[in-house]
Order: sequence, then C-alpha cells, then structure tokens
Amino acid sequence: MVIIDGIVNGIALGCIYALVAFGFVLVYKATKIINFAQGEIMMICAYVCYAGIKTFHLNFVASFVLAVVFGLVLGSLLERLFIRPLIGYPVLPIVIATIGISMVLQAVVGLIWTFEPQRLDPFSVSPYRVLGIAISPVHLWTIMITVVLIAVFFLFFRYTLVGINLRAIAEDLLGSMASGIAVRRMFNFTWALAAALGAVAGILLAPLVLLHPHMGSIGLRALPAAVLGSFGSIPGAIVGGLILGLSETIAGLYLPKEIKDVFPWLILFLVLLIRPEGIFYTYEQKKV
Amino acid sequence: MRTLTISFGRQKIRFSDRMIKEEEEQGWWIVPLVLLIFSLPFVLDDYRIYLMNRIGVAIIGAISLDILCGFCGQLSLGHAGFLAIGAYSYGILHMTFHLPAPLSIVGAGCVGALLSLVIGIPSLRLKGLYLAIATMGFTFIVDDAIRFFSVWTHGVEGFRVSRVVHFGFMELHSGKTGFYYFLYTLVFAMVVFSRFLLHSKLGRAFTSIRDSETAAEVSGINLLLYKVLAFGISSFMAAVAGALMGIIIGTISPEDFNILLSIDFLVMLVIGGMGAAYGAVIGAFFITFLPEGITTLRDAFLPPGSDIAILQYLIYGLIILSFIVFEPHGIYGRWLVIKTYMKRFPLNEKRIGRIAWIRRWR
Repeated sequence: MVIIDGIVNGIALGCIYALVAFGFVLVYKATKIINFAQGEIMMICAYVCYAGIKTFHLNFVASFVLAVVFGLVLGSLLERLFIRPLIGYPVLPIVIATIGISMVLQAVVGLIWTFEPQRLDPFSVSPYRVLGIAISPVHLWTIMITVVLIAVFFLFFRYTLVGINLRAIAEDLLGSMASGIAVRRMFNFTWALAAALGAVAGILLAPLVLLHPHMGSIGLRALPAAVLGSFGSIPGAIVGGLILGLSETIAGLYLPKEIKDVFPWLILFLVLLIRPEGIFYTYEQKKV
Repeated sequence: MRTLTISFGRQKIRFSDRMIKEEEEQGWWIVPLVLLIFSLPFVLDDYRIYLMNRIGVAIIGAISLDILCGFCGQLSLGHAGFLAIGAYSYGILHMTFHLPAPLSIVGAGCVGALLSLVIGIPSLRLKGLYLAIATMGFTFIVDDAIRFFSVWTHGVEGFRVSRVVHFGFMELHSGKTGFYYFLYTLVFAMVVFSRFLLHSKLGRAFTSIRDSETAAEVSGINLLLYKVLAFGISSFMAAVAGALMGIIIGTISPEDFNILLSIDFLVMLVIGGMGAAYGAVIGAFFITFLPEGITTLRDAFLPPGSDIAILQYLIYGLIILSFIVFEPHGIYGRWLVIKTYMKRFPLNEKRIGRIAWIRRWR
C-alpha cells in the first residue's frame, strides 16, 4: 500500500509541478525568456488567498478568486513595468531582472506578513475513499483542478481568437506582427495568464508546505519539468511535471534522503545528455 | 546590439558597441589605481581589510564568469558549484593530505578545470537558457555531493581551513596585510590576463562563438575545443577563487556556495557590464559592498534590531531591477557611451547624447 500512496502523492505533486512548469512555458513561448519569479508570484498569490480568509473573512472560494484576479493584475503590471522596456535586449539581463522581481516580491511579503511561516489549509483533513484507496482531499482537489485547467487551456488555445493569436506569436513573431496581432498586448496577457496559473498552483501547494516567503523556491524545482518537456510544449510540461513528481516521491521511498532532493536534476542531466531538446521537441528549420 | 549614429553633415557613420570596445586601450589610469589599492591597508582596519579580501575574491570569480558568459556567450548558473569544488579540494589537499599551500591552490584549480568537462562537453548540445538550467542543476548536485560525502568534507558542520598560508619562506595570515597584497597581485594578474585573452586568438574565437556559433564553425573554429577551453579556463579561475575564499573565511560549509552565489556573480556581470573584464571588476566591487551599505543605512534610519533580511532583499532586488531597466549594458557600457560622447564632443548629434531610457519608455 505504501507504493500506491507514493504514486498518489507523486501524481498530486506532479500536478503542481506541471502547473508551475505550465507558467514557465507560457511565458517562454511568447517572450523567449524564463521567468525566474514564477515561484514568487505563486507565493504572493497564496498569501493573498490567506489574507482573504484571515483578514477579510471571506470564504475560501471568494479568496481563491481574489488571489487569481490579483495574479492577473500582478502579472500584467510586472510585464508592463520591467519586461516591456527590455524587449530586444539580450536574454541574460532580462532573466536577471526576473530574479530581481523575485527578490522584491519576497521582501514585500516579508514586510506585510513577516518571515514567520503561516498555515493555509482550506481543505478538510479526513481522507476520501476512492476505489478503496484513501486520498487526502488536498491531493484529490489538486489533481481535479489541474485536469480541469488543462482542459480549459486546451480549448482556449484551440478555439478562441486570443489563444490562436498566442500560438501564432509563439510560431513566428515577425509574421504575427505583420498580420496585425497586437504583440505587446499579447505579451502582457501571457504574463497575466501565467501569473494567474501561478496563483492556482500556489494555493494548491500551500497546504503541502507551510506558507513562507521562501516557498517560491519550489519554482526552481519545477524548472526540470519544463525542460524535460522541451520548454515550449504545453503537453510536454505536463508530462514532465508528472514524471518529476512521481520519480521524486518514489525515489524518496527507496533512496537515501540526500539523493532525493537532487533526483530531478539527475534526471534532467540524463535527459539533456541523451536528448538535449527535451522529450517533446518538434524540429524546425533554423536560419543563421 | 545598440548602434550609435554620428553625422558629419549629410554623411552618417554608424558605430556599434563592439567597435567602441575594440578601440585602443589607454592605460594611464592603472598606475594611480594600483597605488591606491596597495596603500589602502595603511588606512583601513582589520574588518575593512577582510571586506577588501572578499572583494578581491569576488573580482576573480566575476572575471572567470565573464570569460565564460561575456566572452564566450555560455550562460552559466553553476559558478557557485565550481567555487565550492575549489574550496573543498583546497581544503582536502592542504588540510587532509598536507600538500604545500601554493601547490594545493593550483591543484584546486586543476580539479575545477577537470570537473568543468562535466558541463563543457554537454554545452556543445545545450544552448542558451537550457545550459543555464543544466548548470543550475550542477550547483545543486555539487551542494548535495558535499553533504553526501561528509567523511571527506565534514558536511554541514563545516570544514575548517587554516587561515595561515605558507609560501616558501613567507607566512601569510588571511586577516593581515600580507595576504591582502598577495591577493591583489593575483587580482591584477587575472585582470591583465583576461584583457590579453580578449585580444588574443583564443579570445577572438570565444567572441565569434558568442556572436554566432554556426558562423564560427563555418570559419573553421573547432567548437568542441574552444568551448571546453572556455569552460576549463573559467572553472580553473573560479576554483582558485573558491580556494582563496576558503582561506579568507576559515570555515567552509555548503551554505556558503548555494545558488544565490551563482546569481550574485551573474548580477555582478550585468550591473558592471559584460564582455570587457572591467565591468566584472566594477560589479564585484559594487555587489560585495552592498550588504555593508544596507547595514549602514539600517543603522542610520531604522530602529536597531529591525529585520535586516527584508531590507536586504528589497534593496538588492530594487537595485538589480532599476539598473537593468535603465541600463541593460551595465555601468561599463554606460561609461563607454559617455566616453564616446565626450570624445566626439563638438561633432555629436542629439542622437548620441539622447538618454536611451526616454526612448525605451514610449
């Protein structure tokens, strides 16, 4: 039974990794940069949800919505203030700028809620029984919300005009500019979307680990997931997240503790050595 | 790449950044700088000397990263890993095997260069941000390896490294001025070396790899050889910096070499300016002094005992952000623009002097 518990835990953790990696991939596909602040955006949104429950005495659903809306606004604001002035510059300064954003966000949370860990546990404690397996509600909700979100995003990218525009930008920036897509607005929208995803991931993550300003470091742990899925493919990010979560929990059962933490990175090294483009790469011609 | 356009009447000449960098160097300012740095120990107290030593190590580390990132264009977040490798192999060679100190420092560098093959060879296939992520993984793996092999490295409890170094007849204590002179001689050697490297055949190969790998390969540059060389040189210097850092601190533990240190080095490069070695020096100076400045600010404006961590994060983050948003090419890049402006003074157009950020915020 330990192994089944491990698998369920792994899938739930993998779903969170997948959501974070999804945020990375969204931003990367549109703007070709890695947003190192994704983990901290997650963190601050989880704190907003916490504030909604504790300070404003809203119920959980309302504060969930509040946090997601906050994520949308925050993402679009960050893009407008810090990323848009840097469009066209080399990658490194922009990546460093996102690291700067992550530090400022941590400091802001520290100023408002202090560095003491807080508890955000909106789901009930008693486990559900599904097919004879005990699943804790947090894990069940995590898996369900992730599945729903993936379905929604699939439909969004498939059928809505904005989704099609975003795909066009990922495919060919100049071409989509020429055909009249408002590229800047789309960039902004992508950041907002990724931050809202981060909000969902943060709220789902909060019951598993305590709320803490350094909670965002889980964002770095989700990076291998995005790379495994070749950083530009959304199904890839999801599969990568699941592989990562499962392998981490199962490795945690059988391997010494020291190795468990670096296990994602070891997998990443192996995959990158064998197939540096990641698993889900689609080949395309490149001009010099 | 930013270009400057200068008009002479109707004729317009475009200067690119790269052309400005290739201008002839004027070395007159080095003499007063050397005099200043070598006369500092007469003025400063022990703590300030310790700080200056940290800055020296940071300069060596930043220059080594500049050779990798700024010259050769290989983004690396694994630099803390190489510093850790240097520090620990110095510790093991010197303290456990009792090798003489100079030999152990060089040996630490060699171990770093050897282990850089782990990243150097995959870097042929990994590009840009992928390489950054893989090297970040390298930092984490080194961190865990240190904890795992605690028989050799003493794990989290810390490895005590002797702060006294014997160089043949000399005996240098890292808190005293003798070591300071030794360290800064090394720093100057490194700066001069990197400047020569930049203008040598090797450096030209590196810069052409940075600008376009395909074009470099087509013009006959052996990518494998030169990338591995870039990683090797850079890691050698980083490992030496790590060994020196171990001597200065006295006790090394895995927490000294976490991912934040790697990020610090990249921030030094971005704030100082990449690809010219001087930028790395400016950045190292700035970033190492920053926590001091923040503490002074706290003492001046806030009640004693208020939380320093929050302030540090806030100011550090804001400084990074404002520097990058207003001047992505760093302090040295801005200095080059100002220098060109001054040089061509009577002939300059509005366009040269126009401050770039006004244009960028439209």
